[in-house]
Amino acid sequence: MALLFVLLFAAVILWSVVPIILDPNTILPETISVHGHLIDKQVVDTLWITGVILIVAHLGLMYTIWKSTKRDKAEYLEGNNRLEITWTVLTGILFVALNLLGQPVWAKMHLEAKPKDAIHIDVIAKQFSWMFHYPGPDGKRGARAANRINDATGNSLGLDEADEESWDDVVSTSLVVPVDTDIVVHITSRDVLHALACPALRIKQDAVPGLSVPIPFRVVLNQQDWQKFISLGGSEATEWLMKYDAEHFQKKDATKEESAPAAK
Amino acid sequence: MSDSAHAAEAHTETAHAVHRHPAPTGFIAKYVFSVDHKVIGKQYWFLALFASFMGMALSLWFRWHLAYPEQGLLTPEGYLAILTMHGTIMVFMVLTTAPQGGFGNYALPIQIGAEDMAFPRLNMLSFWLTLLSLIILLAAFFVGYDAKNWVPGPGSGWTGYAPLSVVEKAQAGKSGAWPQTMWVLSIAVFCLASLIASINFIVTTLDLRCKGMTLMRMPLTVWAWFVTAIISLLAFGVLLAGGLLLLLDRHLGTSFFVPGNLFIDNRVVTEHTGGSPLLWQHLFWFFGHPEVYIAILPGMGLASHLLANFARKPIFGYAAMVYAIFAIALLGFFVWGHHMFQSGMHPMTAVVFSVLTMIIGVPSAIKTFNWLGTLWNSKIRFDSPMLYALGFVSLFVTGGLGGIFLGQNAADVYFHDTYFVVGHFHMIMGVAAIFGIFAGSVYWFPKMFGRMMNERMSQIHFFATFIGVYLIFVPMHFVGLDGHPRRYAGFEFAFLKTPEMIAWHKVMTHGAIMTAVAQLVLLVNIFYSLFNGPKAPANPWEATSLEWGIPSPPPHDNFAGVIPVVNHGPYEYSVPGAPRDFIMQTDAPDILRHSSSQTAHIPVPTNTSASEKFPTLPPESSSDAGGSSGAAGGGSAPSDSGSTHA
Repeated sequence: MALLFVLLFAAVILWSVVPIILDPNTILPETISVHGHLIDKQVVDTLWITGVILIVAHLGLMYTIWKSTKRDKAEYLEGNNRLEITWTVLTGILFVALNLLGQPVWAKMHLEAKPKDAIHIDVIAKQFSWMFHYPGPDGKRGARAANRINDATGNSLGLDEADEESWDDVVSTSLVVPVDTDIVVHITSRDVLHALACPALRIKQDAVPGLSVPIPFRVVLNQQDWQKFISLGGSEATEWLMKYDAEHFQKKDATKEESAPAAK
Repeated sequence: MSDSAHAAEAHTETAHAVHRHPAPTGFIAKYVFSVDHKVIGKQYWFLALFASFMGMALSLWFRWHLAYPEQGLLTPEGYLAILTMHGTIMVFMVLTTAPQGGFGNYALPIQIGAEDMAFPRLNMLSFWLTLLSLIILLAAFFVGYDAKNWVPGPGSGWTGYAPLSVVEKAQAGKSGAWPQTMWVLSIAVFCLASLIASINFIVTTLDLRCKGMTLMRMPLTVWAWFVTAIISLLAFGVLLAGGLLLLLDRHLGTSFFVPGNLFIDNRVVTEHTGGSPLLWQHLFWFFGHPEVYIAILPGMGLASHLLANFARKPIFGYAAMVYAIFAIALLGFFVWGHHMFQSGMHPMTAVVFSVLTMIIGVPSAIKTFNWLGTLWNSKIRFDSPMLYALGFVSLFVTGGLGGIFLGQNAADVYFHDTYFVVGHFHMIMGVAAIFGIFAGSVYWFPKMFGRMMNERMSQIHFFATFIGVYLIFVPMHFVGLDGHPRRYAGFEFAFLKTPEMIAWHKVMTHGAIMTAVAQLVLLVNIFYSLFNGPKAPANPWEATSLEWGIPSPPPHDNFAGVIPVVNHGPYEYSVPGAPRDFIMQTDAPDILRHSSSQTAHIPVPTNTSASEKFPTLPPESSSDAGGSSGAAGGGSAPSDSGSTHA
C-alpha cells in the first residue's frame, strides 16, 4: 500500500506539472498590453513558488510514507516549537512578500491617475452583447439615459439625440483601438452584472449597473498579426473583436456609419 | 416519567444528567423524530448522502454537455439553472451538512464525554429545518415547469447575485419568479437551522465536557466542530439577513440591491431605485468565505485526528493546530473581499483584503507542516480511513495552492471568473472536504452502525475517486490559466475552439464519469455493510478518544449512565514505556507506572459492557464538567478489545 501511495503522489506531481512544462503555450496566451506583462510576471512567479511547494509537499508525503515501512515502531514526538515558529514566520514572509510584489501593477491599473491624453471609451454590457461608446472628434461622449433606450430603433445605449456632444459619437459592438495609445475603458451595465474578459489585454472587470469602473490600458504589438480575436463579452455576450490596427482606427467614420444609428 | 420531570430530577444529580432522556420505544420516536444526537447525526448523514448523489448527477449532466455541446443536452438557461442547483445543493446540503451536522452531531458529545447535545429538541429542530430547506430547494426544479421551455431552477448561480436574482424578467426562460424565490427561501430556512445548530454545538462543547476533558485535551475534531459552530453563528446570521432583504426586494418592492434605471425586458425598471448590487455581494461573501471554512475545518480536524491515529504518533504540534484553527476562523472573517477584487469596489479595499488573504494562508500552511511532522518517523497503518486522510492532505495542498494566485488582487485580474477559480474551490472546499466526509464515514461507520465496511471496496473507491477528481480539477486549472471564462454553456468563442481546450473538457468529463462510477462502489459498500458487514468491535482502529471506549453501536445514553473521566490527551500513541502503542483518554493516570510491572493487567472490556469500563464518579464531582486539568476520578483503567490490529 505504501508503494501505491508513493506512485499515486508521484503521479499527482507529474499530472500537475508536466503539462505546463511540455507546452508552456497552453498557459497565459500572449499579452498585448503594457500592464499585461507585469501581471504575467506575477502569475509566473506565483506559478514557480506554488509549483515548488506542490512538489516538495508531495515528495514529503512520499518520503514519510515510504520511510514508515522501514520502521518497527513510531517515534513519540509531540512537536517542536522552534520548527513551528520558523515555518510560520517564513511562510508569512513569503506569502506577504509575493503579494506586495503584485501591488505596483494593481496601483497602475486602479490607483494611479489616469493618463491625461487617453481616449476614453464607455463599455456597456447588456443581455446579451457588449456595446462600445466612443467619443467623436470633440473628445466627449454624449449623455445617455435609460428612458431613451430603444433596441428596435438601434439606440441601445439611450443616447440623447438632442445633446450636441453625442452627434459625433460612435457606437459599436466591437472595440477598435489604436496601438501605442493610452485607452481608458469605463465599464458599466444597463441591466444585470456581467464580466468583461479580455485575456490578451489582461483585463477582467465586472460590469455593474449604476457603477462605471475605469480601466486604463495601452496596446503594444510585437507581432504582425493585425487581426485577432482576443476576448469575449460578458457572461452571455457576443465576441468582442479587437483589431489593433491604428490605421483602421483612423477610418472610424466608416465604422460610425455602420454602427452608430443614434448619432447625427 | 415525562422528559421535563426526568430532567428536573436529574438536574439535582449531575450536570450531564440534565440531558438524559429515556430511550424511545416506538419507531417514530426512535428513528424519525428522535432527540438522540446519534440518530440525528445519522439523519444528517443520510440527507447529505442523498444530496451528494443528486448534486453529482447534476454535475454529470452539465459536464457531459460541456464535453459534447453539439448534442444540445442543455440550453444556456438550462445550463445556468443546473449549475445553480448543483452548487447550492453541494455547498449547503452536503459540505455544510455532513461534516458538522452529521459527524459533529454523532461524535462530538461522545468525544467530550456527554450523553447528548445540550439542547436535544433544538437539535431535532435543526435537522428538520434542514430537511425542509432541502425540500424547498428541490421544489425549485419544478415550480417553474413549462412544457415548452422548462428551465429547471433559478439561473443566478449559488451566489445569487443581484439584480439577476431580484428582477424576475432578467432571467431568461419561462420559469417565472418561483424558482428563484424557492432558492432564497431554502437558504433562509437553512440559515435558521444552522444558527440553532451552532448554538447547540457551542454550548455543548463549553458546558458538557466530562471530568478531566479540559479544553486542551479535546480531540482536534472537537476543536474543529466547536470553531466551525462559532463561524456558523457569526456567518449564517448575515446570510439570513441578506436573504430576507433579497426576498423583500423580490416581492415587496424594496430596493436594497437594485439600482435605478435598469433596462430589462425592453423597458426601464421603475420598481427599484437606489440599491447597490455590491451590498448583496458584501453580505453574501461575509458569509460565503467563512462558509469555505465551515466546509473544510471539520475535515482538517478529522484529518489531524486520523493521521495521528493511523500513523501511531501524537499529532505534531497539538497546540499549534488549535491556534491555527482559531487563526483561520478569525482571519476568515476579514478576507471576504477577495471574492470581489474585480467587482467594482474601491481598489484600495482590494489591497487590504489581498494582504489579509495571504496571511490566512499561513495557518493553513502550519497545518500542512504539522501533518507532515505527524507522518515523520511514523508507523503507518493503511486502514481505509487513513487512505482518505492522506488523500485529504494531497488535495488540500493542491487545492490550497490555487488560493495563492486568487488571493493576490493583481493575479486575480487574469484569473477572475475563469475555470481556474472553479478548479481551485472545487479542489479545496469541494473535493478535499468531501474526502474528509469519506474519511469520517469509513472511520465512524463501525461505531454508528455496529458493522465494519468492506476494506477492499473502500480501497477501490478511494483510488478511483482520487484519480478521478485529479482528472477533473487539475485540467480546470490549466484551461483557466489559458483564460477560459466560467459559466459559459458552450464554446461559442473562437479562442475556446482549440483542440486543446476541447480535449481538456473531454478529459474532465470522463474523469467525472469515473468519479461517479466510483461513488456507486461507495454506495454498494455502505448498504452492503449495513446489513452484511462483520460485527464491529468497540475499538477497531485502536484509537484513543472516548467513542472507542464504548460498544459499537453505543447505548442510548452513550455511556450507560456512567460518565467517563479523562486522564490523558487525545493523541497518546507510541508512548515510551506504555503497555501498548496507544493510551486511551480514559486510561488510568498511572498507566505508565502500572505498565512497567503489570503490563498483563490492562483490562480488556467487551463490546457490550461500557458501564463496567469507566470509573464511576460521585455525582458532585462529575458535575464539574470540563474541570481542572488532569483531574483523575480514580478507578480502573479502561481499555479496549477487539482490535483489528491485536
